[in-house]
Amino acid sequence: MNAYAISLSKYVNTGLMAAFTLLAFAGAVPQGPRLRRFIEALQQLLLAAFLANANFTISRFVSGDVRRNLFLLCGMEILFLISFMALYRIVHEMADMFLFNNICMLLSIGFVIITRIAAYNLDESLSYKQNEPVKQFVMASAGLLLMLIIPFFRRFFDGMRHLGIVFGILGIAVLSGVLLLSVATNGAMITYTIAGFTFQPSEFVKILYILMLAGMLSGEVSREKGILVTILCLVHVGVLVLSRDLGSALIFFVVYLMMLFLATGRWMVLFSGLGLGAAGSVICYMLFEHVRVRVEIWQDPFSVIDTLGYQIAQSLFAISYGGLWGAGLTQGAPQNIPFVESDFIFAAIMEEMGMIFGICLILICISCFLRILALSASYSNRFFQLFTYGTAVCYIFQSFLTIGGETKFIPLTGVTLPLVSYGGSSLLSTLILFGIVEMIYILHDERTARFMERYEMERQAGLDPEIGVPEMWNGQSSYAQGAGQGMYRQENAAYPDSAGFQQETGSNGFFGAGQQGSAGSDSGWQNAYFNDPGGLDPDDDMDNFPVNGISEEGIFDDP
Amino acid sequence: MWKKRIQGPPEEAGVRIPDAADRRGIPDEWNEVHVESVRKKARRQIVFTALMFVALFAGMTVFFCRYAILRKSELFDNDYNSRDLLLEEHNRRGRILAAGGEELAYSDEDNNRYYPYDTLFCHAVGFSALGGSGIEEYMKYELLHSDIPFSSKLACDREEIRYPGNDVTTTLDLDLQSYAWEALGDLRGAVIVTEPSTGKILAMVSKPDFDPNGIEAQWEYYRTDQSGNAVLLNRATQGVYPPGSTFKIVDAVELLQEDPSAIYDFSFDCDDGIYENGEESIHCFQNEYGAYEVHHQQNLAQAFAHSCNSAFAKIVTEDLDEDRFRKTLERMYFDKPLPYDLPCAESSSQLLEDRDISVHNLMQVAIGQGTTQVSPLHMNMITMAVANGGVLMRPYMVDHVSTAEGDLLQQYNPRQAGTLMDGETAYMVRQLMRAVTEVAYDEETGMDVWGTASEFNDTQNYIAFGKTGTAEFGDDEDSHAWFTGFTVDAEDSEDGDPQLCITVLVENGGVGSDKAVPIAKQILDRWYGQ
Repeated sequence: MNAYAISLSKYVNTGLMAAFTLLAFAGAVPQGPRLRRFIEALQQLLLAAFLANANFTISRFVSGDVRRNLFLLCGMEILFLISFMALYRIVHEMADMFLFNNICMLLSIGFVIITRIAAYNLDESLSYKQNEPVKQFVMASAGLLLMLIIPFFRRFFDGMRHLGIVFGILGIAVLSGVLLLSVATNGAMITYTIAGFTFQPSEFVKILYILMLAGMLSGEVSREKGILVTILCLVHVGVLVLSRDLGSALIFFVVYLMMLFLATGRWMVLFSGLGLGAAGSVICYMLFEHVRVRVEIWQDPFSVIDTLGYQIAQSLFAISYGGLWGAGLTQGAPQNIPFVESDFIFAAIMEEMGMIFGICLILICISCFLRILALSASYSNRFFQLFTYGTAVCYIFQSFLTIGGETKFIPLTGVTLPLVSYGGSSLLSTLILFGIVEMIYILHDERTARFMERYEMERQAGLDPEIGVPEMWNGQSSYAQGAGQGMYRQENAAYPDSAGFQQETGSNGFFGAGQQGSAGSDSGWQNAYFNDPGGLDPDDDMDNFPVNGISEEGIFDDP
Repeated sequence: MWKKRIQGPPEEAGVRIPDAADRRGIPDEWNEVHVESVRKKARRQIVFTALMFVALFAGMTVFFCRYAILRKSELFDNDYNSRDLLLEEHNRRGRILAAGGEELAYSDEDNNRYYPYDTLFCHAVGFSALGGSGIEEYMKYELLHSDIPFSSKLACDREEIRYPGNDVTTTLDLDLQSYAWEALGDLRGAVIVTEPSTGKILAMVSKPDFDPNGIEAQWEYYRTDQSGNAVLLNRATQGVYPPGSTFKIVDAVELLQEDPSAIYDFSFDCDDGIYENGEESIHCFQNEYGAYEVHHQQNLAQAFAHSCNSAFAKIVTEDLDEDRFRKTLERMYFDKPLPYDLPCAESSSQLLEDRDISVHNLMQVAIGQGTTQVSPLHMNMITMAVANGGVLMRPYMVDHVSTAEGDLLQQYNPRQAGTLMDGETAYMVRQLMRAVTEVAYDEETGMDVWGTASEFNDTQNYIAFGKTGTAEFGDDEDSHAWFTGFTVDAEDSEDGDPQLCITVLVENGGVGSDKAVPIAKQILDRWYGQ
């Protein structure tokens, strides 16, 4: 009768999670760098406490060697995640840590629930039948290492903009290869096992796909280009539908639609796309038996509970049994759900850790999403902006599909919950995507810093900022004067107030995500720059930055 | 260093949509207005994206929280949900109590289940083993959860015992149940006693019965038994039988709804006990000597009291509007799930199933023969509605749930199921049902009119209302015996508030007035202390 300890632990877990979630949203409130560092550290502490508490609870369920291994694994997880968070901060000074902390928390929740499910699958010799927790930990570590390494290759990133069509064709080739292979082997296989790790190609094609879209849409979207992109995307989606990977097909379609919407800026694109998507769904419903079956299961899983409705019915049982606070770790029966650790992880979390915890998990997902969107909004480089945006949409839509499917909100599509679900491909591809997002952020920061540095040097070189510096930097001088273009002044008058986009920057809020003050000195220009509504974007071709008259006079040009 | 950067080849920059500024020869990079407009444009779409997905997630969260919380016990009770086994490891299954507080079922420390009254409550309370039945199955969620305070749970932890589950108090009355059980004796059949003003089920007996203690050992035998005993079947709710003459209550309701004056005007001469319509004919009850009863000239109350088949065959074939009758039947839950939470059979009506019914079948409908079938519970509900002025209270068997320490968790209150007939009709049908249970003097003929349940004529502590039924089935002379009725306290007038509503069915028992009426009378007499 250790129910007492377990019920205490579930309240502690919920409390830790709620506190973490609160801090994840604290990023929306303006704060200085010191407070930021403090919040980050607090989040890391909460994460470690959660892992320790949860694993301790699970350990009461097992004994002997397994218990020892469990503590060992738990220790490694804590050590690795904490040290990794510190390392990331050190290596990439400008990295966005709120996003990174959220990623680590989601990974930890996955670790805990996968460990718990594996703890149930013990055979008599008291060893893990399957080493899922260890595998997951290894894959997560590999993914985090990738995240650490990716930013070092940032100087190659700009070039990828031109490779859009190459990525597209590559992606189609991979997906078609998988489809042909599965037809040849006479089965609907979308995963392959290589060296003990399951491998799902469509997860990795996702990265190529977003790169393709970002690259091809970053320039002017002409009619021909739009049609080309649409064809490429529809081929992707079509191949996925034929492979019966409906979840991925939906994700690919929505990512395409939203990115095209952002690239063209037309609302018509969104609404007609949604209409076409709906029509496509209806056609799929009529054409494919497996689509119809899924819709029927969704409408009433209990009428076919013997067969196809079993999984979703068990998921609903689990969610309902957990209630607000959960049954407590090891006190539920999530193992009753087939494929619980990959497709139904959210139901397992809701059962054992409760509804409040589940809602906090959703909030963390949303926090990640909003954070990435905010980064996207702060770039004026279209390639950066589109890629970041595509990643955000891809991430949140996949989360929506899986959580909605598990809770009978929408028909089940069988995709994983990114970062939480068991599965190496999903984990790696999501971490690579997030790694690229961080890389772009660092790239952006770096260019901003370089931009500032150069301005400072020009100032020190005796240039009069009133002449050489755009008007908005000091708010006095006329940039237009230097540029010799009268129209500028007029257009500027259209933005008389400073109530602009970057007004709250320095605060690092969700939609003020620009600069967090970690770069450069704290001299006056910084504030001046970021409080200005219409800053020149440092992402954009720094080296062509015009300094009036300087080139002609040869002050900086050393022949 | 910085010089190099300035001189170096231009890095690739993001390409943006050119606008008017470009055409005037200003590069994008120089054009702060342009850069800002790109951002501003994108910002609108990005904010929209954020709002859209946040709204989706909010909707989803509300949906699944509502779903999981509102359907908590329904999902828990599902046969495919094995979480009751999990709870049994920690909790001791709660007790089931009679309305008077007597323990009908309890568990020991090791969760072995005991039923102190053995067979008495076997169908109503049911059993917990093998998936369960009755209240044991219906209240599984409540019985298996323990809502005692945390401090009490701690005390249980210290003693290393299971937490006591919640107690369920039923509406069943121990005395009434045992009267019904004893009155039915060894006959096959069912008795159900309810309270018309609330819908409380006070007694529910089905025979043959079984002992829920040790049901596991007998399970295979009961399940494969081919003798027709079907002991596991709760005949009161799950058995369906032709209603026989009790269906004349429904006929009378429909007649009086269509034409209230029929209560005075109706007149029928049952000459030789045969009614003919075209080529079809129907005869009145055939007594043991093979002769048809002859009822002579009679009004509606007399026809009802005599249970005159000819008169009601005439009413249904000639006087009633078929479509209106169908609507009435639908309102009375024929061919529909009954408003009752535990498993129960659906009644079927030949009139509803056969849209193009022949005269012959219509006559069969009128006297409750043919393919019309009702369960004793359904007949009881119709009677309850008559007794309660047309309003049916939803029958229920669980009064409240409390913790093992006695704190009330949930009280189940009476609920209206619907209005089966209007108040005036109910009042007139009630008068007809009184004619069945008394010996009345008919001034016109100067003779006494003996109702088919006139045994109730001289009851002292209560006034009975009712209707008998003899439902033939199969090809030979076999028939089920029915009685359904209700009582009013003798201190009250005949229009007083109804107290008990009783329905008796004896399978293959013969004539209703011979078999079912004495059983009902014995139960009511003992209850009213005669």
